[in-house]
Formats: sequence, C-alpha cells, structure tokens
Amino acid sequence: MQTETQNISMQELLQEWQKANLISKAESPAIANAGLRYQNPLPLYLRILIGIGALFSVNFFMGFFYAAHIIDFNSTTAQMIWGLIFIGLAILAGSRAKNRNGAVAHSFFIQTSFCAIWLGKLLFVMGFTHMFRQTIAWDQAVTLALLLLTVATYFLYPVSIDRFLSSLATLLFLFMSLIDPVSYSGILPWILNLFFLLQLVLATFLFLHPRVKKVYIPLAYAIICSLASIIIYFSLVSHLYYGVHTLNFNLFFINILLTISLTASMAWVVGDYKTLIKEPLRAIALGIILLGAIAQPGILLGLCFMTVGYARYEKALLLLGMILVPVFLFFYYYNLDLNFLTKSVTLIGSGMLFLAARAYLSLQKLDQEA
Amino acid sequence: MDTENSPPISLEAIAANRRLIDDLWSQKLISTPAKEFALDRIYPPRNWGLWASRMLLVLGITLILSGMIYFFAFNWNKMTPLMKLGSIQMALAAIVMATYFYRLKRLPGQLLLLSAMVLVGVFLAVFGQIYQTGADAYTLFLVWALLTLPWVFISDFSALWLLWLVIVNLGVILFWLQTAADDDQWMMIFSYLALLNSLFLVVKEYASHKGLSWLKKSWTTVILVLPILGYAFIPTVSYIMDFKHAHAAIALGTMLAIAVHIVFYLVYRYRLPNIGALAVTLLSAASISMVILWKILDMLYNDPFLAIFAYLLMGCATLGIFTTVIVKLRAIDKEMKGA
Repeated sequence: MQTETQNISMQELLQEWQKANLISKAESPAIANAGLRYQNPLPLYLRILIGIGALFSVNFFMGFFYAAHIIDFNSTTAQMIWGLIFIGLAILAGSRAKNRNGAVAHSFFIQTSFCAIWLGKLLFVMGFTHMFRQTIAWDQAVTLALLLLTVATYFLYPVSIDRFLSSLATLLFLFMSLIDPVSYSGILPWILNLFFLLQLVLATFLFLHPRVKKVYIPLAYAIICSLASIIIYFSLVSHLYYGVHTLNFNLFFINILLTISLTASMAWVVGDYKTLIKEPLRAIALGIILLGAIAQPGILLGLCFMTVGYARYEKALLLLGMILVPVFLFFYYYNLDLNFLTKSVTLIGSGMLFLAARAYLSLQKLDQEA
Repeated sequence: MDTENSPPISLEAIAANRRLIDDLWSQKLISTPAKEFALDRIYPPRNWGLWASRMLLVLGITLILSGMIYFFAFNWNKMTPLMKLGSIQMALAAIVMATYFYRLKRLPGQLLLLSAMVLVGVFLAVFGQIYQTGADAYTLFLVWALLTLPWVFISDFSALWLLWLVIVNLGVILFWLQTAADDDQWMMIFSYLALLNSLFLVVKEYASHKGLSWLKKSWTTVILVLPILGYAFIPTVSYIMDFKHAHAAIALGTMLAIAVHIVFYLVYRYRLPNIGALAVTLLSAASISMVILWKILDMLYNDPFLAIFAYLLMGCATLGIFTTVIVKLRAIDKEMKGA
C-alpha cells in the first residue's frame, strides 16, 4: 500500500482525468488556466522568517518613534491616525509585492508591509485602548480594537500569517475579557460555554466543509489554537480567583461538546453514524463516551485534532493533536486526587486497557498493513 | 500576497495538491467525482486501523511506564534494596526479551526498546540512592548514555536516538556545572557542547550516507543543527557586546561559531542539500549580524540625540538583512527543487 503522498503534476492529472472521462477535452483549457494562475503559498519556514524579521524591526521602529517624539504617545488621536497610516502603507506595499516578479522586490515589499501592518495595528490598539479607558475595561477595549482591525484587514491585506495572528489575538483577548467576573458574574459560565461552542462549530465548518476557500485556513487555525488555549487555561487553573470572587467553572458542558465532536468526527471518517454502532467500531464509540465520562476535555480535543488532521492531511493539526494528548494525559493523572499507589494502579490499568484495545484491533485484523 | 510571486509557466511544473484541487472544485471547474479521483490519486487511502493501533500502543506503553514510576515512588521506604533493584531489573529483562520477540524493524519492538532505555535510567538512579556512592549527578547521565549507546545503533528508531542525545547533553552540562572552576572556564561549555553535537552530526550524516534510512529524514539534521548554532550563538554575542574584556573561552567560542556557520552553509547548500538546516543557519547568521550592527551603532552614537537614529538604522537594516536571507533561501530552494 502506498503510504506517502504521490508527486503528480497538473499535466499528468489532466491526462488521467480525461482518460477516466471525468472531464471533457473542452473543459481542459479552463482547468489548465486555473492551475497556471494558482499560486502556492510560500513555504512555512520562509513565512516564519518573515515574521521574525518583522518582529525585530517593529521593535526598533517603535523605539525610534518614541525616542524621536515623532508620535505623541500621550495623544490617543495621534496614535490611532499613525496606526491607520501604517496600515494603509502596509496594504500599499502588499499590493506592490503582488505585482512584482523579481524575488528581491517581492521579498522586500512583503517584509516591509508586514512590518508596517504590525506597527500600524500596535499603534491603533494602543490609541484605541487609551481612548476608551474610562468607559470599558482595557482587555475589552483591546478586543474591540483587534476585532475592528482583523475584520477590516482580513481581505484587504492578504497575508496568511497576519490573518492567523490577528484572528488569534482577537480570540484570545475576547476570552480574557470574558473571564472577567466584574462584567459577567452571573451568566459567565454560559457565555464561556457559548463562546467555546461557537468556535467549535466554526472550526468544524472551516475544516470539513468542502466549499470553504483557502483564504479561511488561517482563521481555522486561529480558532484551533484558541480552543486549545482555553482548555490549557482551564487545566492549569481549575478554580479562577479574582480577589474576593471565586468562580468554579465546570467543564461539564465543554466535555459533552467534545465527546459529541469526537464521535461525530469518527462518524465522518467512517461515513455515517450507523456504522459506529456495528462491530468493531462499537468498541471505539464506547471508548470515546468513556473518555468523555472521565472528564478530561483536553484529551478529547487532542483526539479530535488528530482525527481530522490525519483524515484531511493537515500536518499542523495532526501535530498539535499529538502534542496535546500526552500533555493532557499528564495533567489528568497529575491532578487525580489519589495517593501514589492508587495512581500507579490507575495508570498501569489504563495502559493495559489501551494495549487490550490494540489487541482487539489486531484480533479483528484491522491493523494490517495492506 | 505571501505566495510564490512567479507561478510556473508550464503545467508539468505544477505539483497537484489538495489545496489546488479544492480551489478548482470550489470554482466549479471540476466535478465531485473528479475531485475524489484526484485526491485518491495523490494521497494514499488512510489505514485507520493501523493508525489507531499505533496510537494505542504508544499511549499504553507510556501509561504503564508512568505507573511503574509512581509505584516506586509510593513504596520507596517499604521496599528492600533487593526488591527495588530486582523488580527494575526483571522489568528491564522482560522488556528486552519482548523487544527481541517483536523485532526492531517494527514499531512495537522499537517502543519497547525505548522503554528499556528509560528503565536503565531509573535503575541507575535507584542504584545511586541505595548505595549512596557519593557520585555526582552527571555520572548517572553519562553512564546511562554509555550503557544504552549500542541500542541506538541497532534500534533503527529516531525517537530513541533523540532521547540519547538529550541524556548526553544533560550529562555534559551537569558535569561542567559541577566542575568548572571559574567564569572563564565556565563559558567553554558552549564550545564543548557545540563540538560534541557537531561530532554527532558528522556521525549521523555518515551513517545516513551509508544507508541508515531512519537517519535520512531532513528533521534529524535540523534537530542537531539547532542546538549547535544555539551553543555557538551565546559566546559570540558575549564577544560582540564586550570584546574588550572577552576572555579566551569567549574568543574561542566566537571563532568556532564562525567556522560552524561557514561549514553548515557550504555543506547544506552544496554537499548535502537541506533547506531546513540552511534556513536555521542563515537565521542565526542574520541575528549575529544584527547584534554586530547594534554594537557598532552603539559605539558611534554616544550622543543621545544621535542615538535616536540608531533605532531607525537598525529597523531599516533588519528589514534589509531579513530580505536578503529570504531572497537567498528562495533562490536556493528553487535550485534544490530543480536539481
């Protein structure tokens, strides 16, 4: 059985489609043209380098503007106007980059525009937060400013790292402002649950719906990271303390949501729900429900990421799942309120259970390499 | 915008992938059966059973090993030395026998050997505590590495090799922390670690050249190049920031860093093309260049007014340096793909 991705050119694929009567000769030119127009994203390591370069330069330029008093950091209007000017320049430099065929000019404009967009966004957020400091809490002001900027620039500034970082920053600040009990003391748990549910639904749609355009991939990954951050936060801090306020947030609802999501993703993998109640998948479905019952949402979330990532060939999602599952397993056993002996027996027992499940798969001949 | 700026001019040069197929399908240029046909052709069908089986095996073994460690922690005071050492040795022997049974060409065998490697460390720690030999902590790590070295050669398993590297590095760091006499000597650790890991890198490249397939993966090179450059970076920055008072260890570390950057560039550019290792090398070089420039500007602009322009110059220079690195890497990547 082939296990690696096959390298096939567009030319070969067109020929194979024609041979299999999946496209007609008349349709070929349009498909070929679309293929020629398609632009592959820059490799990940280059995008990371662009990000690192921009991060360094933003710091230096910020230092310059501060030291030279070019921007009045006490004036909210000045900060916001400068922010908007930089964002405008970034969009301009970005459009220049798009039209440049030479690697030097293209790389320079990408680098410059990326630096300018971060400068602009930083200044705008600073100004905005300062402006509304009397009316709303600072984290809410930051969320609002980031939301405005993300929505405004998502399509105007088509750089995937910026889309990812802006969306993620917005979601994380939104989460920060949601866990502020001064504003939402009574209904806070429900708002948090709703926030999680909405993100889960949106992520599912973005990853699994076949008609979703590639422009939304950065948003999909931002949501994934936000979901993981929420679970990590609640795993680290089981009780939230705010001065005299103590909030016991129950992860029961999130746990149910993730159990349903994992079962649904399994059903999606095998085709339908009916298959799940047949042997041998019945055992897996029961295992998922059992996992939901032990109340460790991180493990469930990690398994969801792994399942979807493996099925959709999304390496980053798969890797994130592979990191999350052992981390949350550690959290789970570490936080068990048991003595070492009971913990040891529980761990060995769970390990045996996993190995028994593997033996079951082997017995059913489901783990055979074709 | 952050896409390749010059799309290929022929269809032969375009590699079909899921994003492209999805793009064609979302534009309604191809039908659903055509999309599925293409995806089946490009991507192998997923063997879920095998995947799930491997996951269960990894998690099962991890949990059992953790459980064993908790068991020792709980019964520590109640167990006699014989029970302590005997039980670990029995577990070790059982795992090694199971490894023999499963064979090292398969994942279960490789994972069992990895577990045996962890148990060797547990055994040495328990041994050291029972007999209170007075030996320093580094001896545990170095003996552990020495005892398990043959397993690295026979295992065909990169995770085991990686764990071994971590053990050796920890052993050397602990050794130095406990024996270094003064600051001057202390800084030598970075050069020694860079040299030691360079030696491992040479052995790794030689072994992969000789046909050890598990060491041929690109990440196995990057995972060694990263710490070497990291170790070389520290004395270099110290030298640049305060070269007037730099002692021999720092100067030596800086010279080593220069050599390492040049060698890595030449080797991974021409001899053993590896874009990941090159990217890391150039990132390190770019960072060192920025530190040099910062130092020069710092010396030139003693006046606070002029110092303002140092920020501006640094910002522009950073853009220039990173643009150059990106342009260079794109050209090399293109060249490597074309080769």
